[in-house]
Amino acid sequence: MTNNDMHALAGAYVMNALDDEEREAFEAYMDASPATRAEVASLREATALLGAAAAETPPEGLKRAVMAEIDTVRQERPLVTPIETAREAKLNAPRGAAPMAPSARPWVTRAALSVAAVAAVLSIGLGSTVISLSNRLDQIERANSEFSTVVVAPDTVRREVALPSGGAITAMISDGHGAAVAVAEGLPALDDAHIYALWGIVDGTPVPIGELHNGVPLTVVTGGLDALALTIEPAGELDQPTTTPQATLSA
Amino acid sequence: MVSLRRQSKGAVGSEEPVMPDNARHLRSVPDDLVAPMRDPDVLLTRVARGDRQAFEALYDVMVPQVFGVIRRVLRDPAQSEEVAQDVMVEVWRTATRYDRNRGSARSWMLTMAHRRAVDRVRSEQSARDREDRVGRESQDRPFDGVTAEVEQRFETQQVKAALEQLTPVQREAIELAYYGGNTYREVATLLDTPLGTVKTRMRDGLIRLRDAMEVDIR
Repeated sequence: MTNNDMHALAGAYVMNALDDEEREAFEAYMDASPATRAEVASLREATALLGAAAAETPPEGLKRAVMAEIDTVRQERPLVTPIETAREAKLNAPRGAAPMAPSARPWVTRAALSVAAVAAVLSIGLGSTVISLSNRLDQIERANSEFSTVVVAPDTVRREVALPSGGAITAMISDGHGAAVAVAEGLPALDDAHIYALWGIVDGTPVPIGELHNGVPLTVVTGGLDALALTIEPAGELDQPTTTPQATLSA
Repeated sequence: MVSLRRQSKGAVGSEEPVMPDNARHLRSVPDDLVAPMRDPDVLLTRVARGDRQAFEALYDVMVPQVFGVIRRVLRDPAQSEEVAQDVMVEVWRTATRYDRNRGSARSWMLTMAHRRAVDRVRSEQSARDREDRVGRESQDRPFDGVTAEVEQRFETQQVKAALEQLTPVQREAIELAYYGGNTYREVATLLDTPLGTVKTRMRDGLIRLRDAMEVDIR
């Protein structure tokens, strides 16, 4: 199947009208094609219109059943980069070309893309960290202008903090869009048993965002973000910080 | 994406708060209070923080569409109710994974609902004799019947106007796929039309819907 043939399946894909094999092939193709991903996102919104046209009042008892059931169901952890995949994010860090987006870690890739866009847009006059990023990443910014319009919001604030042990973290936080991006520069190297862990403080509770490496942006999308915090942690998967923050950036 | 565009126009175009159409009649309540309580994007973001009250509001706003999509695909009311319950609980469970930057809460929820319904239909179908399937479906799911049902239930004039942008053949292909739960290969068989033609009609039709939404939704 040619690329054009594949791209033409976007309509069938968003309507769940592909069989399993074709869907997998299409998703693999889509991962490598930013244009197809963008089209799929926009066509999904169009299918929501088909849903609106189908609206129908459900039976009375459904609400009671649903509300009773959610009291017994635990919510998944917030959308964050698992610590172990943050390491892969470093390997995927853009070097002047748009990285591929393996479907197994879409969030991590998007994190890199989104900061690329923000960094490029905000680069003028905002300091060397951002400028050096933008030079590498402005190509990606073009493929990702949609996200940039979100995060480069009127309420986006920039926070920068220097660490006592050296290095600095810069973050851009949009309260209105519930999104924040953070990038580190000059953090001293740690031994293999330790990592820099970035946390979002959401309604007073720390949620893991990911392992922070110099020059590799991380992003979090969540409502109620009060602050970002950096700790040094033993390597491995973490739910909660175990040490005092090295730095805190409030929203 | 609709939700993003809506926000930016609201911010730039006027001082009027962004508000879903179906909240417009609530004039006695200040707009800035109404909008967040009815906006699925805002509600789902709160649900992600474990807000049960926000979930209840989200349920009220979205469940007619969620149930409607499932029922359109599955037909059977009892099965539809069961799947709708599963989907709404799944919304609660995985709200933390919803990302506003990737699309609206509405499309996120309806995609989930539609996928569940289609999976149910196909798993049942695969248990039957596949040879027999397409022929029986063409009897069970007359597309002109689907069209009539859809027309009775237009949520708003905007939805109606958008659907009217479709050519008859685009509409037929989209309805057989989306409401009928058929794959595009099955649609091609049902319509006795080449595969390439069918997938083009589906994509072009959705592009038309999308473009009509962009014009009509603020």
